[in-house]
Amino acid sequence: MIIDDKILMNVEKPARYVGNEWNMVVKDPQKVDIRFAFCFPDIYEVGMSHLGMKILYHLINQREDTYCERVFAPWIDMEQKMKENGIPLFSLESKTPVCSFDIVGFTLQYEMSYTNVINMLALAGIPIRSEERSEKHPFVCAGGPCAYNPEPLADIIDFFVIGEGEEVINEILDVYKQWKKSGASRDDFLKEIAFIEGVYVPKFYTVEYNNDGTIRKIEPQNMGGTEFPSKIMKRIIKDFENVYFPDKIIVPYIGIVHDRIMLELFRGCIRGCRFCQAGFIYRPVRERSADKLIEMARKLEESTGYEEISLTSLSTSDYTQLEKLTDSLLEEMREKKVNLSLPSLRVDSFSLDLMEKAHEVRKSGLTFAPEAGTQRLRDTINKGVTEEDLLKSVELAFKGGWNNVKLYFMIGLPTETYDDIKGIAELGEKVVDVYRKVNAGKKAKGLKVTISTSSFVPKPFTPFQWEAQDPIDVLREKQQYLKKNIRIRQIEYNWHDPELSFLEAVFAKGDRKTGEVLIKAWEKGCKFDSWGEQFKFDKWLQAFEECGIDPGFYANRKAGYDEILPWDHIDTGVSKRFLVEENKRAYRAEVTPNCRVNCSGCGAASFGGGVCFEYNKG
Amino acid sequence: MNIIRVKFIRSDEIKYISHLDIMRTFSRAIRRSRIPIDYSKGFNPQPQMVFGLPLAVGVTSEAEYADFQLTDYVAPDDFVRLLNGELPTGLKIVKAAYNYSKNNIMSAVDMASYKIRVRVSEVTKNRGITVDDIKHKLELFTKMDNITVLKENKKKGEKSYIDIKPMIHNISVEEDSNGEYSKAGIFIISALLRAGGRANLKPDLLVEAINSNMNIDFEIGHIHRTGLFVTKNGKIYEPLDPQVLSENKVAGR
Repeated sequence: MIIDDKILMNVEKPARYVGNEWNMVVKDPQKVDIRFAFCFPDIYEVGMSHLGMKILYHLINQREDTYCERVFAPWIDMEQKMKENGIPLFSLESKTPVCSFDIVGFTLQYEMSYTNVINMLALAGIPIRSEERSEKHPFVCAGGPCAYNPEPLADIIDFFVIGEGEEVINEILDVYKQWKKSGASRDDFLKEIAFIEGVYVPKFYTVEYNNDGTIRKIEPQNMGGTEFPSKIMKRIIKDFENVYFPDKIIVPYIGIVHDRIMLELFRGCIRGCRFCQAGFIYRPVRERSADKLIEMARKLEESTGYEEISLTSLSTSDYTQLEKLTDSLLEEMREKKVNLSLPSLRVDSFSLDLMEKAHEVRKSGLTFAPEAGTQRLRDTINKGVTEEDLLKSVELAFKGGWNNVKLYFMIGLPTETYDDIKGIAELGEKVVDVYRKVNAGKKAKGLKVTISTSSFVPKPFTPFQWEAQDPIDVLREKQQYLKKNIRIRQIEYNWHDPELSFLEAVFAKGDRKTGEVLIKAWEKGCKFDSWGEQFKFDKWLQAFEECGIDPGFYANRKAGYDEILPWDHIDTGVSKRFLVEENKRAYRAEVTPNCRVNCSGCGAASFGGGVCFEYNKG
Repeated sequence: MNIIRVKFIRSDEIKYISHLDIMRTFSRAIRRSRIPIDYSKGFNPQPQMVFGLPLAVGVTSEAEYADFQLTDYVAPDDFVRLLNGELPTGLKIVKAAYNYSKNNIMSAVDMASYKIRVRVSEVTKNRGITVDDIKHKLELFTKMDNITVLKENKKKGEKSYIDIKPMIHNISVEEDSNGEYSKAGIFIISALLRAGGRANLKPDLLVEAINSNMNIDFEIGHIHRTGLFVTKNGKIYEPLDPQVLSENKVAGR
């Protein structure tokens, strides 16, 4: 397929649609057995910044029998042109229509990209509902963090991969290759992969509901004596040190969101903040050695020519070999004129010194995330930070010459009172006081404290999975209350739109019934919902109305511990018993120590690797 | 100082990449090649490279130029080989030579030549306008004493009339050898225009001027740059000409 000049000359950033970047994998599509379309349901610049896609793209292309190509959501202008000219959604590598691939795989990074998944299927000419697809259509699969609650997309996606894709994708492709040769039916393939650990085929599971709309049971179907697994266990990489990692990555022409080499120091997080899904689904923490990371950095720098390397992980300060890693990287990369870009580290004398060394001299924008305004609420969410810690860090930073501080908080957390919200403003004032003290005598000139609040979204597989989100009007009232309580000129306050957080909660916690709403909203023109000006909340409300579904049932209702949750048949290795215990501790404002201080017995040790066994190595 | 000047082509595969992105592509390619490029001082060191005249998105070229400042001498042939090994399809160095003059490529270039593929509409053809008519109109166009056209200043967001006559060095038109006028109505306009910081006429503005002054409705199909030039002592040279690269200062500046 050739995309006409006339089209590309009349869209914003045509380079989004032409491919041909450095390190792009080129294969002859005629000479492979399997063609895999890796779809990211957002624009090029966002999708190309995603580390998981880079890893899986190159991993799949290691196979000689498979050609993995990239597909991104065309921006509104390009979509318009494609429709006008009858151009279906196509891959960047060979410009092949997506509908002629064997497998079409989506990565689900955030709930508000679901309408883009639907839109991309429609643009590809692939039926949106799984049941409408036949032998001539590709299989549609999905993975990523949002796949841990696959139910809202259960009628759309043929199969889900739960857990870390690089662990399981090759097994699926092996089965596919055999199946394609055999000429067996679509269902035969799905039946076979349903027994691969980590694969979930929703059509083989039935959900029954109680009269009040809650779930009565989720059960595997019995198909002619075939008994599918009743629980789908996530897959993880046990040996993170030696797992495949690409030594070449694609270098885009146009600027993308994260335009640099990303070094993944470890996967998972030892902290266990009770609102944070990533802190639970990626358990246990698995690290790479500094030596390995330096070797990876060296190879990637050689193959890409990137001028910047960043360290990526959930809480980089917890990396056990951080000093060794940064010392070596700084020394080696200085000669090569490569910058080391630091993530938001816990601020202490080590990290401030490191920032100096890494030449992050623009002493602006130090970020702190206390998440809650009072100690009681910080203990409730298990954010192991005290006011003293924060003020000490801030003092160090101010003494080091920083004068721009960002403080991140969440509002609407379980057990929150108006005193907790007032606490946010008070904490901000204390930060300003520290600045005045440090600069005693001088006027607190040039100081800027930014307080940002997002709205709490209850997520599956966290200790807060049963919790209700505050209704939109309450969230807004709380934002106003905080705004009223911030009286100092140096403090600026930003907040998130509660409407988006509300929909996030609905689809994070949604069951199978909510899938119809996604399709309805898309029919009404919803897509790119996380792109501010594209977000059409009124259309979403109409969609719920027309489907006869109350969004508040999912977002604003607190569930009991014994209620069957839509994702209960998915197993992350972290036991429900542990999550219940953590939820109870939250209400008692009890802190649970991190994984390196003490094992709390969450269940993730069953995977047989990572932090759970660090001290048993001797 | 070792400053090497290269001539490179930018073909179809790369024409949708903006000037800024092309520079970044070269910067990463030269890092990969391990050619001893010099870096700017400061906290954010950048490879020392200067490019000729920016090329608009969608335009191809067989004659782009750039200067690279090296910390050590690298034989031009080696430079070409090493850098070509790291450039994506669509960018290719064809020639390189050391520049001993004081002028960098950006300040030296003052002329650019283009081939502009244009098409006339069915309406124009139906008015009975022949190839000869169009050639005649172009001839009249070049003989006009002044050619005013409305030019938009994107930075200021203003439009003003300017006279582009002094910026047109020469211009000619021929039928596209691949097609018959009666079928496609396609022409190739060849033009040598002033370019660079002091006076710059973009080829699309030239076509706009022809349309508005000669009552034609050329639609631009594709623009291809065929050369960049340096004027020295009243003569026009290619930027890699020994006359341009020699130590002698360019006279008349």
